[in-house]
Amino acid sequence: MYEFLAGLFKWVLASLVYSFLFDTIQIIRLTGWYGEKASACLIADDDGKTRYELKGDTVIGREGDCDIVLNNQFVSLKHAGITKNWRGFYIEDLKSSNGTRVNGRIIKKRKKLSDGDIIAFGPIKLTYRS
Amino acid sequence: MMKRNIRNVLISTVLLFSLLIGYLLYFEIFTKDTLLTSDYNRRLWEEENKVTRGNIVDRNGKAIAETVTEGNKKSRVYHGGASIGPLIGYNNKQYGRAGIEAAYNKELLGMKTKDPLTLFKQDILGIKGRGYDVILTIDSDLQETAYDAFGGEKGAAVALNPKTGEILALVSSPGFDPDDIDKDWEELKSGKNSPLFNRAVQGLYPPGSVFKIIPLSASLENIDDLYDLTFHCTGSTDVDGLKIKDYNGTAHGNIDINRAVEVSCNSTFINLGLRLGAKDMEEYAGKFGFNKNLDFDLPIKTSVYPGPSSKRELALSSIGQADVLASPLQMAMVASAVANDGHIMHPYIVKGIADSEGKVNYNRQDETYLLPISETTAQQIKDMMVNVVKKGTGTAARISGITVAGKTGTAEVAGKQSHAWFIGFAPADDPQIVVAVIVENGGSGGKVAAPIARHIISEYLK
Amino acid sequence: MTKASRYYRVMLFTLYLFLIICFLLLALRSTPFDPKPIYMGLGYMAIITIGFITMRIFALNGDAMLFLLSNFLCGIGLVMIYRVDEELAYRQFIWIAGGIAVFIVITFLFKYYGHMMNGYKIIALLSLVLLAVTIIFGKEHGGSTNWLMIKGIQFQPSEFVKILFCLASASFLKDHKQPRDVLIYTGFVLMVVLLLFIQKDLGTAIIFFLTGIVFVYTATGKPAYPAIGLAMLAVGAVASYLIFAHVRVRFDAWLNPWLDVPGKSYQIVQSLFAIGAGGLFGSGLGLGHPEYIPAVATDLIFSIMVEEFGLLVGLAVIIIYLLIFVRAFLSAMASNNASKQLLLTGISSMLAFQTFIIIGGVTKFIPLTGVTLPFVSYGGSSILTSFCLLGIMNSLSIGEVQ
Repeated sequence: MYEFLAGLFKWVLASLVYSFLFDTIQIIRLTGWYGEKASACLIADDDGKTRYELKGDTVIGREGDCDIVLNNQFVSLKHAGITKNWRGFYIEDLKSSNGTRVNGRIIKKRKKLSDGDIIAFGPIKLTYRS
Repeated sequence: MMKRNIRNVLISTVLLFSLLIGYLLYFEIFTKDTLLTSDYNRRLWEEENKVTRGNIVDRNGKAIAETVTEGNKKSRVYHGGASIGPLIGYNNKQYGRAGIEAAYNKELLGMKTKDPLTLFKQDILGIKGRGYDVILTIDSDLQETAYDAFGGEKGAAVALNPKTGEILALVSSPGFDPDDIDKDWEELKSGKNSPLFNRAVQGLYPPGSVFKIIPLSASLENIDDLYDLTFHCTGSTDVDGLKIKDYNGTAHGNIDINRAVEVSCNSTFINLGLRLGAKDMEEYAGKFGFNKNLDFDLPIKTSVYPGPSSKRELALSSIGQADVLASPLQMAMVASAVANDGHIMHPYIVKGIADSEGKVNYNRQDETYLLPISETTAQQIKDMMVNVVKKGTGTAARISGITVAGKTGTAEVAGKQSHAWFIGFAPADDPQIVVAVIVENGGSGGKVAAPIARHIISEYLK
Repeated sequence: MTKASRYYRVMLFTLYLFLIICFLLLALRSTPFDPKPIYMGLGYMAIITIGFITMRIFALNGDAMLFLLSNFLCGIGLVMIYRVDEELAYRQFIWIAGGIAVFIVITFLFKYYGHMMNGYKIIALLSLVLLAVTIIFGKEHGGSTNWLMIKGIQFQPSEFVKILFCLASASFLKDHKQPRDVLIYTGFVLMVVLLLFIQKDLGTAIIFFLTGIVFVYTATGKPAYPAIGLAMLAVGAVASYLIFAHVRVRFDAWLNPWLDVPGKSYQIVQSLFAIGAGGLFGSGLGLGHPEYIPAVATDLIFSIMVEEFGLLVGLAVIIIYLLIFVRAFLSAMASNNASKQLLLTGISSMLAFQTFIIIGGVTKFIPLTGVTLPFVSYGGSSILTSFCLLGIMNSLSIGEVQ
């Protein structure tokens, strides 16, 4: 009886192992060998072409020091920050003058970003894609 | 830059592991099948324990190796003690298989296909029952008698029926009792006298004077006036500067071929050998089975007659020295040619295979293996061999009431005592049994080997 | 959630499923259903979950990968060890838990305290002292005298020395690359090898020596050094073959194992039978014969793994190891910090050699030596050290993400 079970499940187990391997390869394809590749990015809404890759903590603002520099008078020097943890990417307003909106709503505390969210820094809109 | 170095290290590592993966795949596809059928694979044992192993019985149906079932436990019991060890072998989980137990393992387990694993996979449900019984040509009483005659000394004996080729006894001394294989393994493995080794079929020894049958045959068939020739023996023959002595330096004087055979005169046979030449010698040695691979029930070593490349070698080989090597089985075959009108019947040990109901599935047919000499030659040699026992070097083999024919041999071994040989058959007019005996480093063939042969023959013909 | 995160979740659940099925089977194996394997399975899954969450909380990007890969290896190892010897499995469980903790702690701390390891002289000295102490006070176990007993726990100092060795080598060689320095370094390596040789731990000695070669080559880039190194290895191998009987035994058993099957080549022959008997998909968990294989929970665990899980799984395991090593090398290549590059390459090579040597030995690709399979074999010192090394590698490669 046990022999039958063990014999049956050996196929299952082998497939699980290879599925595991397959997933690993997929992750490597997506995020690079040691996680260096971006897994999410912000796309500029006006031309749809400019992509900002999000790797880790990103500061967005008008200041030259920022990771993403937005040249617009309504954008504060340090406008917003995007942080990454195990659950995903979060956006936080860094006490900007005009506020940061996600999908039209002003955010007060950290908000988790979902694929397709439109983030507005003043008049500039960027779409979050993962 | 270091990056380049690291890249090289990376490539080397990947290469290394790829090799490993390749090797594993190769192993899986090619190597493992032969490997798994090894006798040492204990997984096969697990499968095999589901089958009751067949018995090995002698020609009279007496069990030599049998599986005894006590309730749930099965054990293998052997009858015959140390006399049957090297022949029957053993079937042991830890130490593997040997002898008939190994050679006929598949039959004993009732397997027909080559791959035991597939076969057992097909039969997952339940026990297959019982394997086949292997019936031997051996007479176990004779086997024991022959073994006891050695008294534990190193040596071997082969006794066979010249008319059929059936082997009546195959003895290697000292032997071992397969019942004690677990207990005595360490001792046996490292034993000084190699008890696990089957000297009768695997031992190769210089045959010495028993080999003279070959130049004798060649001379009888190629030298017309052989009987009229007179040989002058001075006890020592000079061949290209090498002095070859007769036994004890005895000078036989002026003798004819009959007397030369009776006293085993080296001088005569050296002369004959030189006269026949290397080509003829090699040819006749081959006719009798030397340098030929015999298809046999057990693994054997082929006896060799290396083509002489010098006069000295030719001379020495004519008297069974130089690099000539013969197994006791081979010499028994030589004698059986003489005994059986020039025909050497194919020797065999396994008579048949029977299933558990006693129905015989396979019966070995007798067949001629070699035809080295004509009937006439055989008769001529036979007469000479009778005289060897009657009044020559082989008188120790005389049995009252039975005419025994034989040839002695005292093969020189560098630095040690000579091997004692005796080959012969009886009764001379209608031979029932051929015997070849060797006592390793035993000394004189006539003194040491002949009595053992006598013992065996008389037991059998009683 | 990013696509990658999704895959991570899938991987995690695949691992859980695998473990649960295995432990369930083990539970069903005993006729009155034995719940203990299930507890172990659940326990281990709990520990993995805790570890995984901990890592994600601290926002360690991309390195859940190493964590998952190593835990897969530990998992399949734990299953096999439980199947072979329940008692050992309980102990291994503790070691793995400790190892995971070590891994997480080191991943963090090494970033900050890593530069403290620059005192190569002290570290090198410590290594030699540790090895010497093992020789003097060492207990023999399984053919080599490289075990120390402290308060009832047996551990292998040579494992710990692996960490020290890599740290010392990296910190020394990053600044000292002249032939004269290489000579000094070689002297150090040879001393380590010698001390290990005295302990009869040949496999580990070879690992150290080969890693030394890699360190030197990575630092200097001159192919002459590995060439000389390999030549030295060859000479050493021949010499030790001629001088030491136990080397001869191993080598002869590799060349022709059929000469003395019940005696000297018993281990390798049984290993080959096991690997062959498994076929591609294995004979099934619990249906193999580990009782025929000596040292089956430690050095020869790969054999029983292939027998019961099959060669395909065995190959997958090898590929998983390869992924770990290649990942380390690539992240080393991406770095610009010399000591990071050296350390990553060196540690990865050391683990790679160890893996290769034991798998190669067990399959008769190379002669069999007594080293453990990292993460899979039973062995507290081995697990802790492997996780420690992995943690260092992890810590070094995180920096490259930002």
